Amino acid sequence: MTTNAIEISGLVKRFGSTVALDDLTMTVPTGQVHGFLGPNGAGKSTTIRVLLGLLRADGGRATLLGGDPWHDAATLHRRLAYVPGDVNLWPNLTGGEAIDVIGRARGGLDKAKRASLIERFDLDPKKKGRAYSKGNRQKVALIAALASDVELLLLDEPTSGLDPLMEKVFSDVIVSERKENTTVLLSSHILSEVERLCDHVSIIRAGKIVETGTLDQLRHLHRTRLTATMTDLSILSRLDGVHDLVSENGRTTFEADDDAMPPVLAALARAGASGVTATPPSLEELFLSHYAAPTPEKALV
Amino acid sequence: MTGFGSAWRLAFRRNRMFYLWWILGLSVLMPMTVTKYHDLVPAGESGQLVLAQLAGNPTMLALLGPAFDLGNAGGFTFWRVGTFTAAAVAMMAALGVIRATRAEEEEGRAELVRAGAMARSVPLAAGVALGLAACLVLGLASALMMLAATPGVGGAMATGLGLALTGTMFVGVAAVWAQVFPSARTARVWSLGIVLGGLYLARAMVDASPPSATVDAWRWAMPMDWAALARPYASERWWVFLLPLAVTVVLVGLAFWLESVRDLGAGLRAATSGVATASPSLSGSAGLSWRLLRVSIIGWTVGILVTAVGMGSMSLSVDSMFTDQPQITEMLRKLAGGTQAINDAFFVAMLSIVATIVTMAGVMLLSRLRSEETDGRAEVMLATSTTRWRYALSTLVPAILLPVVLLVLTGASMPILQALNDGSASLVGSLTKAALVLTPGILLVLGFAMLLVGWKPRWYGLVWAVIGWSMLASWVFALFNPPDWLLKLQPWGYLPHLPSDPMRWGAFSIELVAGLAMVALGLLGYRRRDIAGR
Repeated sequence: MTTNAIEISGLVKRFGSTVALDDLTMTVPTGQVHGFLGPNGAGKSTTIRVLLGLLRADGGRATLLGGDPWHDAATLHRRLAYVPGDVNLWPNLTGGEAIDVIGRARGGLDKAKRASLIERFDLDPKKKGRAYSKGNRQKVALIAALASDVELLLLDEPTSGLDPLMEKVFSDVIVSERKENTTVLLSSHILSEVERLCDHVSIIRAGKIVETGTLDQLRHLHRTRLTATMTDLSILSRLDGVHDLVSENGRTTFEADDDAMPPVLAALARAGASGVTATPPSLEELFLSHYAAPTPEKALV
Repeated sequence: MTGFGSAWRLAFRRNRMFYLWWILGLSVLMPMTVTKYHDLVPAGESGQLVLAQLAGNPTMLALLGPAFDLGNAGGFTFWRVGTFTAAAVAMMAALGVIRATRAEEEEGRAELVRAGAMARSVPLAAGVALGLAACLVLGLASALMMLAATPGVGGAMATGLGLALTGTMFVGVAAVWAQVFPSARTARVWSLGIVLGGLYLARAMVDASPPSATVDAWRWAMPMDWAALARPYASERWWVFLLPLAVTVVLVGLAFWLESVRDLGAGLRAATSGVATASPSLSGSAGLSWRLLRVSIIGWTVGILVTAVGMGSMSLSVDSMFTDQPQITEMLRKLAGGTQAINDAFFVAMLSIVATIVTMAGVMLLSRLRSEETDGRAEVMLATSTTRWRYALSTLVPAILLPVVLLVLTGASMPILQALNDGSASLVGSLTKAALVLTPGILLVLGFAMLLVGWKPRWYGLVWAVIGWSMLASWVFALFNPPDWLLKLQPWGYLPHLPSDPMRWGAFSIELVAGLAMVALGLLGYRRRDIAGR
């Protein structure tokens, strides 16, 4: 077994004149739960569909479970399961039949796991495909994917349409998959979910990975927001790495670079500051800082 | 009817090209035939003789409907292409209404529209109104062009009304089925396959029967004959138009009532539950494909067998009524290609028509390969260990086998009644062989279809152009004495039509190889191209 479940380097995919993936590079080591974040149209689904061998890459290289996702598609697919973000079921097949059709086509599924997942996700498997709501269609695809023992899960916004209760069930299942050393690539918009489940995160924007690393690493690249009650601000304003210093009604707020934290904390102590709070950047802020910018300004890989 | 204006504009915007092409194509058919009248029917005695024999020939009556005054260009034209055109108008109307109503609803777009300031039945009203309007425009266009082509104001008006009202009946038929079934596909099958196909076949059988008072009475029960029974260009009977008008009103009314008692997105029957686990046979892409296609496969098989035996029953009257008549043979030759014996000509003509119809079945089955992809279900299956080829073959194989088997079955079953009647069992063998010889044409069309799926899936509609052309070529263009190569430029044109033609292995093998080559190329394309998602 290779140590990396997914290795992508310099991947390019064009649709006509649009460049969907522009020199995309990312790695997911075996056993990692990897969050894949990005705005709509950034290329998350395209990346996953290239990994599935549904799309042919125009340039670069991708390796999946040690094989070529295009040439070895059918054999690799025995070892992975996929959940699309927008599930459309066969209108005249029941949910249970759809689960079995997909599972059997992959090479069989674990009956006990199937039964327990149907119960946990509270799915009525006897309904016809056309009668399911969006959330229930999503559950069918999730159960079909999770009921088989695979090494890799490719999940493209798998919880879209699920209610919070079912999202919790999903999280629990992923946590137990992680214990079994299953690799998961989880594309998502729900940041709390990614924060809770993922060891690593990659942020994609306009077909490029703009940031990747553990959440802690990503936070280090960003400023921490601090507040304190203090009278003398001059000591702070003289320090490098302090930004947006504002004082209102005796309450001072500012942001500090990660490197500047030791001198800042020392300065706060010297100035006799009280009521000090320090908030690391949330994933949401990381996320927004990339989305709001007009062009990808940094590629910190 | 709050919101009718915006619903109408939306329906118009989404369907205008669909209707425009149908109207253009169908309204020129009859005026074009008029211009050929004097070439087809020579002046004087010999012309009258031809006409009298045509009007009594059951094969022609079965295909074309009852004949009234063939002595003038208008009357002849209505007989020669009117009933056929009316059936095509019915097809346009049914497809158009389902497209604008149930298909929109099934895709979830109707929900968006209905959530606006709009009365409940407005989307149906807009779809129906557009279908009715299209039928009327088509009727008006045909009437004006006929007026320009041949004298007779009444005849032109009756022609236009006949076409329009046959169409409006099927606006009603399709509107009703669109309420009954939650799937647009099922509504189409019932409107076209069962109602239109069944009525046309019933009409053919009645019209081919030896004339009697009973047959005349039965003819009034045949809605596909009503336009002809109004006798355009043959002292018109205007009151006949009340029949299709009444049927239209009743069916449209029924559709609105049905619409008022069902939920959005639902059919009439409450959704039933099924089984919680798939049966062992529902496994792999082949098992899935059989499950998805079996209703179509069984339906087509039953439909074609009924048609074959029904057509065979007509051959009995062909035999009893006809001796060698060069003019009729000539007419039939244009439909069948190089035929001598009348009875053979009848079967050859029927086999050619069935070949085109069963090929349509194959093209429809294969269209699943494309719709499964655009609906996002192909990617789910292709993300499993199903290979591209296996996935494509699971639909392609039945799409080729079904028409081939059905055509051979038609050859074998058409002469059964006649064989029972006079013990001529050899016909069963020779027509089975005749059917087999036509199968490369099927392969050619489906090879082309697979080529499109593999390389240019968006252009799949081109296959229908090929089928439409081959139908027009044998049904209508034969009248225009086009150059032989042009007439034969269709999938079954160059193949030998046994038993009247001698076997030509050249054409047979070339089409067979070309068909197989296109299938192989199409599969190669399907393996190497991107698979679309939803």
